[in-house]
Amino acid sequence: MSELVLLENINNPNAHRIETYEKSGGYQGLRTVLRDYAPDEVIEAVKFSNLRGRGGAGFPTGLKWSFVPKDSPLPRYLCCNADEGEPGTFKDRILMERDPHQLIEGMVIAAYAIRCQTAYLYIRGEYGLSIEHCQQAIDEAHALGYLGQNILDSDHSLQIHIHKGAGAYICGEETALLESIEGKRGQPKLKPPFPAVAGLYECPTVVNNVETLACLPHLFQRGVEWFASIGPEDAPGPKLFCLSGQLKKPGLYEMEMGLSLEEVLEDYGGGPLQGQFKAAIPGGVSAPMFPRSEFDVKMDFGSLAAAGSMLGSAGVIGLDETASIPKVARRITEFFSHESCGKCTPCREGLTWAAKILRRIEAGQGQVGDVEQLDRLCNGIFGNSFCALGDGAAWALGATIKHFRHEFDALIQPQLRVG
Amino acid sequence: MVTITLDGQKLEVDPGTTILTAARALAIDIPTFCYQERLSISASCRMCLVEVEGRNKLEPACATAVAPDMVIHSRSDKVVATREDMLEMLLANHPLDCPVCDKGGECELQDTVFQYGKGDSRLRDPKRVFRQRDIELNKVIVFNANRCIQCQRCVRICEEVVGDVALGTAERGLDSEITGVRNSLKDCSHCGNCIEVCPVGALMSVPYRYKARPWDLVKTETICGFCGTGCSLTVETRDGEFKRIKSDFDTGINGELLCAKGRFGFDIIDGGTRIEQPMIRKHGSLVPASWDEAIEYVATKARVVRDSGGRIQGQISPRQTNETAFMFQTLMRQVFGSQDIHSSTRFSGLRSKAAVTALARVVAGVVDRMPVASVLEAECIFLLGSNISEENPVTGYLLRSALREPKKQLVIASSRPCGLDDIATASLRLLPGNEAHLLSLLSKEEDHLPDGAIGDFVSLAKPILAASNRIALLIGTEFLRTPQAENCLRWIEQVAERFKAHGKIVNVQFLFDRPNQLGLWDMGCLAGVAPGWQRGQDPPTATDDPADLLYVLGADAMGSGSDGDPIGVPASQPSCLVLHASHFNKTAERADVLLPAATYGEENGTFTNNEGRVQALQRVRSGPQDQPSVRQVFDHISQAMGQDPMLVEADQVRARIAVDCPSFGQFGQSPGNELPVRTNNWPDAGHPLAAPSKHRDKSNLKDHRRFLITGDSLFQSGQLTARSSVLNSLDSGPYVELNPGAGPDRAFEGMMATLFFAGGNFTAPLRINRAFDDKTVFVPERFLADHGKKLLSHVDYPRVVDMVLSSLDDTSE
Repeated sequence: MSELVLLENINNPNAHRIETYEKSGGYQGLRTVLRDYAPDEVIEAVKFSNLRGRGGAGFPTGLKWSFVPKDSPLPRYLCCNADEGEPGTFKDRILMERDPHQLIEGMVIAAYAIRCQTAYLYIRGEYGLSIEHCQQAIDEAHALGYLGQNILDSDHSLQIHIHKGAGAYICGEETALLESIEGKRGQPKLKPPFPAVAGLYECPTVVNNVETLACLPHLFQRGVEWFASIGPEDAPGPKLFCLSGQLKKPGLYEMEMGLSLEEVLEDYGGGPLQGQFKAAIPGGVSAPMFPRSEFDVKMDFGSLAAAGSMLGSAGVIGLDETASIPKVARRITEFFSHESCGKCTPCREGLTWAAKILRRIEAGQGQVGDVEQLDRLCNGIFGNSFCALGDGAAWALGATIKHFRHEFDALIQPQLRVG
Repeated sequence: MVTITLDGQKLEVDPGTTILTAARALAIDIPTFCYQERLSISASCRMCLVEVEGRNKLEPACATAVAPDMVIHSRSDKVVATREDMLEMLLANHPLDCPVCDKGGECELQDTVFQYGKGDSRLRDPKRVFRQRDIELNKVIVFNANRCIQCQRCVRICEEVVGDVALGTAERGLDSEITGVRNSLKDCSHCGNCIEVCPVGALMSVPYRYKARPWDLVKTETICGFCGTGCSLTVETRDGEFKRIKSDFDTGINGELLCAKGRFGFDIIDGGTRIEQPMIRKHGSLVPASWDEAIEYVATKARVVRDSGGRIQGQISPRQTNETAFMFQTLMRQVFGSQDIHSSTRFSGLRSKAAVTALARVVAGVVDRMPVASVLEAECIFLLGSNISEENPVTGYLLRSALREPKKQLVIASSRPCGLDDIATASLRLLPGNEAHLLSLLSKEEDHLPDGAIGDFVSLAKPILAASNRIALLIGTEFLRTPQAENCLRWIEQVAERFKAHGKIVNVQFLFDRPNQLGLWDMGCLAGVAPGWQRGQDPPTATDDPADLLYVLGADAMGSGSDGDPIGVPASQPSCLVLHASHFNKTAERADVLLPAATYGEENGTFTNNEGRVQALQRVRSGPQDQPSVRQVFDHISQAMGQDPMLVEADQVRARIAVDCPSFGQFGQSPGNELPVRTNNWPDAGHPLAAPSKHRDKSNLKDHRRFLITGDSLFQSGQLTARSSVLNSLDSGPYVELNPGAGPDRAFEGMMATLFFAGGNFTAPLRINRAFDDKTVFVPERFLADHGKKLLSHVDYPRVVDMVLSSLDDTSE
């Protein structure tokens, strides 16, 4: 894809200012929406565009909005999930730091669609510059009438409040995020009821990712057909990929979905740092890794799911031949066991147990049966944990064993010979 | 109805039923840890995962509603293997120190592993250890974090039922730890319900610590003896020695709930000084006497007074059983020929005949005898004149639980703040005696309301009452201490009738602070009221003159009178004072005869609780050897007076009660089915009911003047709790609770409050409670013991006192 959409102004040092944004067509999408669309028509247009959520699950955005009850007397809330915490993921940070008005405009459009007057922008607390630039963008938008009462002289009003996360990965899970905004302990809540029906303060609530919302101004400025024409039919629109790990050109890239993992790693990422790639993680560390032999997988929601992984947060991590997979597995598992909220048994107890075994194996203290036990733990956690955190952790760990069992065995075998 | 198939069995259930509930209806066991009926659903332990055909993941049975034609497997290979996995993971960090764990033998984790777990563990790595030593979170709760399995039942019961929010969770993941603020439980009611619901040995009772193994304990199910809620509890003893109190999820109106007094106050049975043998005062001092001698002494005195037309007065403690109460009034009426029978004569508002009539019309005609759980189904719950959180804590917990249902509203008007104020739609501080004034405002047609808090309250509460089809009116007894008692009772009757006339269901119950107040009245232990609320012979006009013989059963007439009579206490000594009681008290110091009695826990019998439910007390241990029972003593006195033998055995007495009070024990289950005593032979007062003005008005009160009110507190129940070392360790002595007015709390730290009244003063540390109004001070009855007689006057409740605050430094100078 030659033309950049989300990253068009990303290298302009003044891109975060509203003047720059307006000059490049900013807030035109909003004008169009307020002028030409009724709220329900916005939802229909987004449904028609087949925009799918960029936060991890790829849920159709328009469909999610349509679950908000039309006749509820309660206030409605829009929450932007900017608690970007998945290792290997930094797309939302770049958007918020360098071109935050795309997000603000997207939030105004989304709020209009669901008839909401109060929105929360939940940014992870470590993202200092994002918080600063988003607040600045909110203030600028207020000053020019894009936010506040009667936006652009329409009936639509919106206040956006920034809520700083306090450092918990779990608060990126949408129900935990809502609990956190309410000032409670960040833990996932039972669904149903789903947030669309009873979310923030038990009111109808939509939670959307930063990148998802940032697509909206472009979608409405340039048209649904334009948007739908980018990339594969079931995964249209511009998409950001975060390339990191052992590759020559790590960074944030915009491309259409549907390229092969190989193309992404080689053409955009510049190939492995040393020798050959051994494996790659396609969508943040909770997405199961692929060995090099499976790099022909297409990078879109459906293809990755069919291949036993997921697009997730599109954090692509390359691992070259110097990488030790047991070490990668240990690092991933330690991350998740550290971030487990502690609510459910399998995630809280199982991941810590797995991490202990992995540390032991890496230290040369592995025993026969350890890998089988890891496998059992993965089976016990996957599908049984309360939310996707435990599932993702077990899924990712399981893939390392499935594809690279020999590397684990190799660390255990020598000791057997001694002992 | 929805049809589902569960382990091959077809079942019809209501839509919305969870799989777990459906399974339990079929007696299919699905293990759980975090799930507990009556608490919010957590679905976090993952023990109850079951297989639902067509779904690719196992579903938590506790949180998954049935769907039409759902096919569920609770014992498939996958489910069984998953249970084993969950248990193995839970055991991974559980210390397995079962041999030294108080919970060993009654541990849900132990039992579930026994039934569903694997025989071995594959864990080879060190377990997580929070700390080696347990933490005493307070004087009754001790915590071992290593054993906790994070079911969060304690946190939920503390927040959702008890309302304290004393427990929470710190840290996350495997470091998650149940705790209070800085490892202490600020705002903790010390009810210990967290201990009761803990499935493992994480939260434990300090008094029970390392005292016994559960399988060695003898369990006796009985009824709590502190307040009128009438909680079921299990007393556990080893070799006859009291060890602990437990509550059972499926037993009693309270289920697993108890309050601090119920759970930790049972050590009263070993406290205090027992009256071990009869004693007679000779030459000014009490000397031991034989039973024959003592009975002859009482009989002779009684015969002389009776035959000479003198006054015999009886006082009975509302902690006595129905059977004993019935025989007491028989002794008084038939043997002593006296109608002058009292229980809780601290209710001085009941001294007039008109007030007793008003009381009879309310208790026998308005009060509903039905489960409080049904009463609490009302859309509007109106709590009038009671600090339910301290006087009937478990009823308060049930009320808080009931309010978790949407669209229910609570309105509170009481002199003391209570723990439910935070969830009340409207709450008002109302001086006792002003209940009638408030009720008249609430039922007035016109919209003009007085200014101030009472007007604000009425404007909030009136529309709620008007909009509710079902109203629960729960009434405290504080107003019975005031001269306004009759007026208040008549307004209660009137308001209930008015709402009923509007087609509403109105359920009225009293909130008695004593375990058998209602039963005593039902048995006729009230001047002018015969058993079964029949009209009795008119009692003599109430007088402050001493009786010629005062027979006190179980009460402490000379103490603060919480069990007996601070008000009816004669200003001077009765000619003969008989104390028939288990323990020495203030009355004993002045008694002419002491007759030993069994104490609570040593006799079988029944109590009638606030619901009107007659519940059986079981003997936990035998009383002192060779000591005749109270009813045997009555019989001996009767025979010594040449009268007929009296009934002694409980079942014989109950048979007689059944004849005299046909409605005894009758109890409805729901509105429309309730069975009040319903005797209609009490006359209407005849004179029209005027809209009363305020009994007390704080706006007229001078600067240093305060209204003194009293009652029970969270850890005190009359004088009875004076015998509990555990409860008294929680209170650290007397206090004066009040709102000190302007200025930060710290400005009042360490200050003493002195209350001056005619004839004396009372000084105690100040306890700040900003939810009081600025003119009311509260001292628990228990601490007024030495001053009760002077501080509480029957013409003047709430008593006006002068208050001076002083810092400790001032007094030392």
